[in-house]
Amino acid sequence: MTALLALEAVSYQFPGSPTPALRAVSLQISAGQRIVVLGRNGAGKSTLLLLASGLARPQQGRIWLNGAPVDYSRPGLRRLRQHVGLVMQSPDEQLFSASVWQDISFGPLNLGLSAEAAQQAVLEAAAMCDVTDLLDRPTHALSGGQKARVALAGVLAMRPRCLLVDEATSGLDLWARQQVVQVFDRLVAQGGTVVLATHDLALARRWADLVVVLHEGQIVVVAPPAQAWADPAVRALIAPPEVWEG
Amino acid sequence: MLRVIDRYAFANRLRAVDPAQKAGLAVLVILLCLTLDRPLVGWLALGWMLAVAIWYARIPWRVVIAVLGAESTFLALSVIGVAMSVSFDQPVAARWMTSLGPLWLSVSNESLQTALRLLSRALGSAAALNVLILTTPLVDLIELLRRLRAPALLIEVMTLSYRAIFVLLDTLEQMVTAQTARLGYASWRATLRSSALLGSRLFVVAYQRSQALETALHARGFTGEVRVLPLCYRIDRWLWPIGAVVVASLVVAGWWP
Ligand SMILES: Nc1ncnc2c1ncn2[C@@H]1O[C@H](COP(=O)(O)OP(=O)(O)O)[C@@H](O)[C@H]1O
Ligand SMILES: [Mg+2]
Repeated sequence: MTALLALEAVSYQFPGSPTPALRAVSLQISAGQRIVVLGRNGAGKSTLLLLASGLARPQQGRIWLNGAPVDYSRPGLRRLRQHVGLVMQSPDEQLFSASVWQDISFGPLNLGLSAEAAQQAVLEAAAMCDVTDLLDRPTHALSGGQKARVALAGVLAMRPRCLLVDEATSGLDLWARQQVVQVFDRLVAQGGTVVLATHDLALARRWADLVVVLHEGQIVVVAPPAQAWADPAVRALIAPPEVWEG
Repeated sequence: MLRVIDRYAFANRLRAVDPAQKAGLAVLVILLCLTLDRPLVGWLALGWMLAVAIWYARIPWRVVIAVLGAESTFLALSVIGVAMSVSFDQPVAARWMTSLGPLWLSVSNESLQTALRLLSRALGSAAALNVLILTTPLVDLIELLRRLRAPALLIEVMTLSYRAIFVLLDTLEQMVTAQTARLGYASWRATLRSSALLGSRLFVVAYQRSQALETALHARGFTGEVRVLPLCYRIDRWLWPIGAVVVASLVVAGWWP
């Protein structure tokens, strides 16, 4: 079976930065997976998601989409974005339009959908993210949880098969977080894949079927949560010892 | 003030009304105020527009008056400038005068009338404009510009700046709170220093945000043109008749001998 998305020995160094942010990272992402990426601040989680969504191009290594190498031309990137969606860390960095309805419609129109088809995509994504009653609201008058779900809807309206999420649940209370996780579950139930970078260990333990641990730009382990925790060396890279007590 | 206007623009009775209809009424009233050169027209327009804002759009009267009041302070300055004349010689026919060292300040009947005419026109136009901005969020005005085939670049810049203003306002408030909590405004000196730091920091944050926003737009397939679906509006059945009555009364007030 070919992976939906595969990274093969991928390295990336930010221009002007002395050390690489990712070093020879290989990872296979298949349909229907719930993947959580863990690691300290600066471990390279955001960089990994940036590369996987084609927003940055690796200096070494290759990324494969459905068994073909990613083509960085304009049509190639459009094809990649159709399959792989990225939700950024802060919704304020993602919502650009003043109205929720218009913001969500941005992605589908960029995919070249007609106005009717785009409208349909907006309504579907809004229903999936429970924001239908917010469609005629201004984006700047939403709560944090609402903003996060609207940002999610803006990406899901492009109907990606693989959703990359960068700490989008960080600033949310536990209820709002659960609402976002429900959206992920709906996507997975439809055969989609979610890759979530987070520091939320409880969520990783409860929700993930695969944990990827990054440290200084390298992948340390890819395993189901219980198996990943079992190794004390890995545990030490995920959280300080006090957290693991009890 | 900006936040208050924005809040009511999104939460008044005419929110869903087509912006073309609201802008049409406002533009007509402003044009009549400017062309019909009689104080009565301006006062009448002022009255009508306050009534539309308060009773028809259901915007609280305090808000309507506060916005108009803020504009009036600016108007008052220019109107006083018109009414008052300054000279070295003692004026002959003045309604009121006073000497200030070698200078004479005076108000003549003529200049007073000009000033009042100016004031009435300006207040009438301002009230009409307020009806528009208090009932119509900028999103809708941008949408209207799009329909009027304004250049795409202008529309994009307006969309992004509107959004950026509120994000920056939030950031600004957070920074000021954080500085205040650390006694950043406890003295005159501290205030100067804190404000300078705030200014430079805000610039950096604005730049970082714009970078992040661009990445996010690219992630959603941005190819250089911001395209979004149009919004849907309703046509208000009563706004046209109300507009007709307003316009008719202004014309009558302007032409009646
Ligand atoms: N825009 C950038 N320019 C230069 N270096 C960067 C940039 N973004 C991240 N880095 C560096 O790359 C490394 C990985 O960062 P990142 O992927 O953001 O980590 P994480 O998301 O796990 O906190 C860090 O050392 C960070 O300092
Ligand atoms: Mg990060």
